[in-house]
Amino acid sequence: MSHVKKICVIDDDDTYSFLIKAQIRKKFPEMEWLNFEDGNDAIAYLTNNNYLDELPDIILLDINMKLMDGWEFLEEFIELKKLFSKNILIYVVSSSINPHDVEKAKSYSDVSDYIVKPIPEEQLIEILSANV
Amino acid sequence: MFDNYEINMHLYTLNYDHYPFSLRHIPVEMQEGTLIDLEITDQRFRKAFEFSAIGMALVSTEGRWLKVNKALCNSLGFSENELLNITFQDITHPEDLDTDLQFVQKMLQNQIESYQMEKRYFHKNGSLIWALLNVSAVRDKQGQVLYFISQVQDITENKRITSDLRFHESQFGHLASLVPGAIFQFEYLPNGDSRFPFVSKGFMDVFEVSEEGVKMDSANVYQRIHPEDFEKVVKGIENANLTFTQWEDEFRIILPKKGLRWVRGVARPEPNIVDSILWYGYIYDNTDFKYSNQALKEAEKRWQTALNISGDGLWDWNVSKGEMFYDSGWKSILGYEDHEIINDSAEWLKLVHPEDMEKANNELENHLLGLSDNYRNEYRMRHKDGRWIWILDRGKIIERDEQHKAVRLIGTHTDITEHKTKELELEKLLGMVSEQNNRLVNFAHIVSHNLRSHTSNISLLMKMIRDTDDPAMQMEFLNKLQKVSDQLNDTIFHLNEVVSIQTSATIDQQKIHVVNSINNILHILNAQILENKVKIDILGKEDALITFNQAYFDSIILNLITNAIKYRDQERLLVINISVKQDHEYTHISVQDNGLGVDLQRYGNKIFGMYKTFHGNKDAKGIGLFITKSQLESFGGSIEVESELGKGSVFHVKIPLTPTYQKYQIIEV
Repeated sequence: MSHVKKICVIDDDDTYSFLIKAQIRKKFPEMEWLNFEDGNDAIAYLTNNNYLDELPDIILLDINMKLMDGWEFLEEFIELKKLFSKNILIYVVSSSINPHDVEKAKSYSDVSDYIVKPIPEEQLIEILSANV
Repeated sequence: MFDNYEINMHLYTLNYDHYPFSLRHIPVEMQEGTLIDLEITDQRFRKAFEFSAIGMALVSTEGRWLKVNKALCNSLGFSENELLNITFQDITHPEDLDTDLQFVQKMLQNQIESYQMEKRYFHKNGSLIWALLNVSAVRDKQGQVLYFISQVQDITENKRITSDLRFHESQFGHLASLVPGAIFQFEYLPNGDSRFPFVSKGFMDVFEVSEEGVKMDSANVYQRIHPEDFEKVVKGIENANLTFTQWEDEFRIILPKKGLRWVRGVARPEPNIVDSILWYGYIYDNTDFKYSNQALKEAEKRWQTALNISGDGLWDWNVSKGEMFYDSGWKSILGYEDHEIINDSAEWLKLVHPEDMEKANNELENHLLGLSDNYRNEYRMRHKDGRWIWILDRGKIIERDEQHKAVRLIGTHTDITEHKTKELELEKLLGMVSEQNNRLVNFAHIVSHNLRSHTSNISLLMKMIRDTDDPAMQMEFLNKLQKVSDQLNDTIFHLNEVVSIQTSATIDQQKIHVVNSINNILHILNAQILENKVKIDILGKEDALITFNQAYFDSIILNLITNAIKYRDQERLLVINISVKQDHEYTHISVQDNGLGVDLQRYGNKIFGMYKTFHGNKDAKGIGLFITKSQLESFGGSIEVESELGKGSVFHVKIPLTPTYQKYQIIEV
């Protein structure tokens, strides 16, 4: 049991990534940071860097990405996590308020929650303060 | 010959002198009852006696046969010798003997000259022989009877026929009285009078007349005929009289007791020996049948009228006999005259639409198997004029056999083409509307998502700007804000473009020269083409024209070619082949490249989706193919892709020759 040490943001909106990084830095200056603009890049990293320390504790995942979207990432992740020695929490974070997307996200047991952008600061702190 | 002979006999009897027998040869013993040999002297008479077809005999006053001829022997079955040894009394029927003997007595007492009677003899075999007996006497000068001359005419056969006739007559009368109508003989006289010489008992019941009344005059019967039918009946009778053809009629009569009745008669006139015409016929009260028949006709008329008004057709199928009946309404729905379709189930099958055949058969099968209470079906049939019409077919089994198998079905056909056409139109419209609705929902989500992603960034940036005092940081946030603002602008521009395609209720259509238009686009892209050393070939129909919107067409071609350039394979020079073909329905334009290709297994239908890109290209917006597809679809066209990763892609564009601008595609955002 320990606090979240490493966060991974997968989102093609660089403004959003910049902003969330700024928010996290303010509250958790020690937090390690991973950022990918596409599901493809994230999968490539996780495949090649799966040592305990290299893996993130938590992933904030966008849905609408161009090359590999959030859903495709989840499918690949489910296969990939069998090799991981730790449990990674996944939060789907999207601008979409489409109920179809919310339902679909909740159908994955690996998805802890569905959060509509922008993430309220309190919720972000709560998520990152939790024990993992 | 015989008549002459008889006359002679009388003469002889009266004129003793000329008597043919030689009395001298009659022995004295004869008077004492002993057999004497009678000689017949007259040659002619002797021959006549011997060979007469009628039995003849000379008989003594005591009744002893003195001389008999062949015919008498044959009639009575005895030989000559046997007869000469007995008396006529021996073989006379007891009931007739007294009469006979009384006559003989009168003869002997000279009271009569001769007598005649019908009497019965016993044949040798015991059977009865009827005979007409004629007896005269031969007398001496004192008037004493010497012997009798008897003529015995065998009338047994006559008697039998007469008695048979009497029997038949009584039988016939009996039968005629039993028949529930009337049997009659009708005589039509040359002067125009008529009568019924014979009527059976029933006749009096049918017409309420007396037998005596009609025997002399048929007027009583004529009076009964209903005034409205009178002329018709008389004409019918007269006509049959002239032609001797069978008379058959049905008419009303008015009776004193029973009132109005219907009668039906059949008779045949035959020329009579005299100048009259004799009819033999049968007539009976037909009222009950007539009324029940009329009720039936009424009922039939009623449903026939109902069918006519509804425009429905009727079929009647006897499954077990394989017989089919279609009424004229059934045939007229399909445009045929009554005689143009024969009553055969094959005619039906011949006209059913091949695509509907299986379903139609299944429904019928289900009903025959008892799976459905009523048979109901909708299918297309070929009208005489060649078009397909929709038929609502409804029916029911009305008769089953002991094994519960269907024997007979009756049903109706209704032309539901108009209804069905509207229904199909409505279905199509509904499909369009629901598709439209789906698009609208998707579009709303896309708009919402795209706008929200920017607004959430804006609100977050504003918060950050407020939260920090560091001017450098504030500056950075402001720059970010500028970038988000630009992106928002782009997004709104794209959405506008999409909406304008989908909402333009009227959009210009013009004749477009396909190859010229493509060349114009290539000219605009000239710099890129030269820079990347792209080889472009245009093949196919050079003069192809399409009806389309010029701006849309340019946008489509531009998008496909820039895509090909954008996603070219850096390892080889790009070759683009554009082909233009036309068939009777569509113009086909295909754009083939040897670029990167797309993994369609993975992305499939997403390739034409909004904001989808597949190559990780920085400047890929993921809007181009979505707009291209929308533009094509708004004119009833389509776009499809074939692609293989590492080999290249082919985009197939299809534009209808007669474009139908999709009015239903209106989206309100």
